[in-house]
Amino acid sequence: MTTLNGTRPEEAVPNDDPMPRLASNGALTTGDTTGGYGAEGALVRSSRPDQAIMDWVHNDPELASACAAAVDPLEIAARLETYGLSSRVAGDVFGYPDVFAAAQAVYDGMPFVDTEAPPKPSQPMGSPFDLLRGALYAIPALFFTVLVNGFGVPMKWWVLPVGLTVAWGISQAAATAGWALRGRGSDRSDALVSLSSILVSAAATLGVAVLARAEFGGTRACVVVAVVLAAYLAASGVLLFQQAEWLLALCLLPAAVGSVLSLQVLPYNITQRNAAWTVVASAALVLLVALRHVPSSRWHRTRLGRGDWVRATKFMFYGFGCGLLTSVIIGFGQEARVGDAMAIAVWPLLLTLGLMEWHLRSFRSRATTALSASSDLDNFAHRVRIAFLRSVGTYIAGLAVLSAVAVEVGRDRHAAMVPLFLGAIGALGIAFFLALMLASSDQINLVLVCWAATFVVLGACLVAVRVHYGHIAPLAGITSLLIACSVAIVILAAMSRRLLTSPLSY
Amino acid sequence: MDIALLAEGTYPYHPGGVSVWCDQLVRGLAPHRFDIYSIIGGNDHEPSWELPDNVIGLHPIQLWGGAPSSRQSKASSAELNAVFSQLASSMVEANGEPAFLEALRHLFELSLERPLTGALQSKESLEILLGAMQLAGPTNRRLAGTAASATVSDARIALELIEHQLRPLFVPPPKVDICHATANGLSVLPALGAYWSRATPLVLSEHGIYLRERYLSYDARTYAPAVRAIMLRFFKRLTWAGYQIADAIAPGSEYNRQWQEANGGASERIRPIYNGVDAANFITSRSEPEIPTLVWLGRIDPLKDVETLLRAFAIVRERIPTARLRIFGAASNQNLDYLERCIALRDSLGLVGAATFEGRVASVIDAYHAGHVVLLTSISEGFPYTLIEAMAAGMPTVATDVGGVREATGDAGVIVPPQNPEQTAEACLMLLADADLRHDIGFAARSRILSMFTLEQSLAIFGDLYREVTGRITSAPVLERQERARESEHIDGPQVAGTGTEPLRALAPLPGS
Repeated sequence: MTTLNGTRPEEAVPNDDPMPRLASNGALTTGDTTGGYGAEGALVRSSRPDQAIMDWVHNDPELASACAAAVDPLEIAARLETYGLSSRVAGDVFGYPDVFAAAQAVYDGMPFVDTEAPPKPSQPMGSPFDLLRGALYAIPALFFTVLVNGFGVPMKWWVLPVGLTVAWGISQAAATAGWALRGRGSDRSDALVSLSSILVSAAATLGVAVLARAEFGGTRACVVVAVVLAAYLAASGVLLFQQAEWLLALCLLPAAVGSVLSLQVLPYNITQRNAAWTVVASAALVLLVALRHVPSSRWHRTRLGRGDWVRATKFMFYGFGCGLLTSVIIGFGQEARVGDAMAIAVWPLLLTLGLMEWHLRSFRSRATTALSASSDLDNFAHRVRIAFLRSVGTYIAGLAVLSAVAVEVGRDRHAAMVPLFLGAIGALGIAFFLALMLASSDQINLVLVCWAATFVVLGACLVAVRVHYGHIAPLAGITSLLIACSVAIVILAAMSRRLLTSPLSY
Repeated sequence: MDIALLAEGTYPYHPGGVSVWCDQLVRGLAPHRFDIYSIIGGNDHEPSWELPDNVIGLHPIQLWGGAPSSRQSKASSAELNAVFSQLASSMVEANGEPAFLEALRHLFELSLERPLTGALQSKESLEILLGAMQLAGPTNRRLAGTAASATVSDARIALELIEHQLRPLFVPPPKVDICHATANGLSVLPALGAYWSRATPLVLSEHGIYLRERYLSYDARTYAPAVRAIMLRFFKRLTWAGYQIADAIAPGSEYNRQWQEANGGASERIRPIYNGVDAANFITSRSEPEIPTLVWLGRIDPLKDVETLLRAFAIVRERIPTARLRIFGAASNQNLDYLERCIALRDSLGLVGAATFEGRVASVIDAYHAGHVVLLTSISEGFPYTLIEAMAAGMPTVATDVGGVREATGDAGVIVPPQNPEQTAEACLMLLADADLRHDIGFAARSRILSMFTLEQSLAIFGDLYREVTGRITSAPVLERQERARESEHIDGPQVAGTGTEPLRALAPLPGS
């Protein structure tokens, strides 16, 4: 027999010792030096088998822990087998008919101790750091102005809407696909996602911008600016997806410094044109950093299934919807020619993007905690409702305070129409926040339905204005958007109340 | 004859022993035609096996992919809730197995009327399951005060798992002469549908023991006690159902019989059928490498316990500093973390350069012959191909005493306890130090395979079994064939207790045959 005899002479115990032992090397030994693991026929059975097996189990902390946490005797049997306690050993060494009887003895003899409990599912709370993330979303709006002014690009109204809308939609789709791939442990596909996101955004924007130029006029520079804007937004979206906010902030540093120096308020100044070049440098840096994984990546096919593509497409339309609604504001704002009113009114929304991020995270964290802390659905719904009101309330309060400041600033600078713009943009911000809450709770279908309803209302208002007045004045357009966004808020709030209190949304 | 081959996580999408077995079965039993139902994780898989001509269809069943439709009318929701309530109760009630099977049948019947995939993900189902999980405590002394505290989060996780695991029940049932499940558990679900709709007989092979592997994989570090309790009861009931429906239960080794019987498998329907290798493909090697080398081949998976392998090798290196360990095989995406853990352990043990992860190999025979000794350190096995292939290649083996390993090696290999690096190392050192012993064991191993575990024998037994369960022959030919095998075993010499002969004696006519 070539079966390895597990008992070394020095580990042997006297034959009159009925207790099976666990050798220092983990082997089961009996009182017979010819016995032990793999021995044929050396049967030394304990008169106290239950105690013997308990002692043996407790000799290995990991096994003891697994047995104490077992929820079924068969689970212990499976564990015992992986430690070499087969039915044969259970009989030969411990005197049980089989491993199941041994497992039952352990199960009955050990109190349940959940020593290896997994961490409760949780999501990190939002934090003031998220305000900085918000700044990363907002600051490029300033840089865009520096770029356009610095190079003296004769801007057309469609440039910003085209770049923004296309990049918003494609970035949403790319992030959705990226999460799906990450969920499958395919981090290497991040490089492919980033490359395709940037390339598709740039190419799609080029196509749309060329069409817009043919339809609405503009120079080649308008097309270039739209494409650069879309590529930048896609690249910054990639960095945010990769949670590389600090890299993004570092890349934006040249543009920030250049923009400040171009304000001519410091001892050292630069021209607006040079400031525009710092913006170009920052945009180039963001692009390069976003693509940093591409050269070293192992290329392989993306393994997205049909369901993933459908989901990514839905998020793309969600992004397009967000972009189009924002474009309506931008378009009518530019048409209105109301001086600084638009620029003043947009800042409360831009400055509260970080607050939106903070309280979205906090809400999800509180909801996830409520899942683990609630033992019935009513209790869970109650906790979530409070968390929802807290997050939405804080966001609206923040928006309201900044809007009040904006009204004052507008009054000082004689900018007309600030309150109307603030109302429309604020309603848009609240609608975005609610939509984001639902979309992040896997309710993208309902958000799309709501977006569709919003556009129907908006379209109906605009048609009514045109029929009644023969044309659509910018202020009527903004008012229409305010009405449509208000409808969206009502729909989204009603949906949120019902859906966000379902545990299946997390 | 048309046969539905039902697989989970293996053929034809993944490598591994069960996939090898499936491929051999399908190719070897032509002109029987095979309709493959393969349960896979997502919808992102491409077959990694080339399907032979006698495969008439491939039906991937996605557990996690796809976009389920959960739109249900109120009436149908009420009906569905009632059935799900029965299912949930049966999982926590003592002796709930028959009610569980009945609930599965009702679910299957509902799925014939309307799509059910995803429909169980509802607030009502969640409430039902949460109630059942909270009731589980009093029925189980050890869980009192634990499962009773099941939270909404626990129920949500469990519901998601159960809903996805039940999806194979809702596929259109195979229209074939026989269903052959390559494992118990989820693979049996499509066969249940075929059984209820057309009384299609079921052959149930189990290489490892499905339930045992669930007990090992649902470990306490991953799931809360309440989730583990309900999920393990789900699998226990499901595997019980598989054993009840199966006309023949064919474990890959005699050792596994005890688990099947412990979970409701009728003894008279259990007949172990060993894997076989095509001996022509496994020639012996006339030379050995110059450097003392150990070889391990398989799937990088926690069940294979590569960590013990590395720790054992570290001990070997203390005595033979020039020794090498060559690890052949890849990790699936799910096990990439485990591979990284193994690599980190190798590095921490100072084995960089000495122990090498060489990935998938083009020729397994070359891999076996790349060393002096072939190791298998698994903590759970059925009847491992790695072992019998290495033996067929004339290699001495050191293997852990799990599953059917002892039955495979008999006298012709060294057996050590699982998770025991010291004894594994001792065995390796013993073999590395003695060329004659290696030669003798390798010779005996190959002889044992040629006499007992050839592919031809294995395929013939399955062919007979198919005819038997469809009533096309009685059990006599099967008995006769296995009797011949038993006689040849006697010619080869004595075997260790508990191997070889018992499966033949265990044969009994099937009910109704």
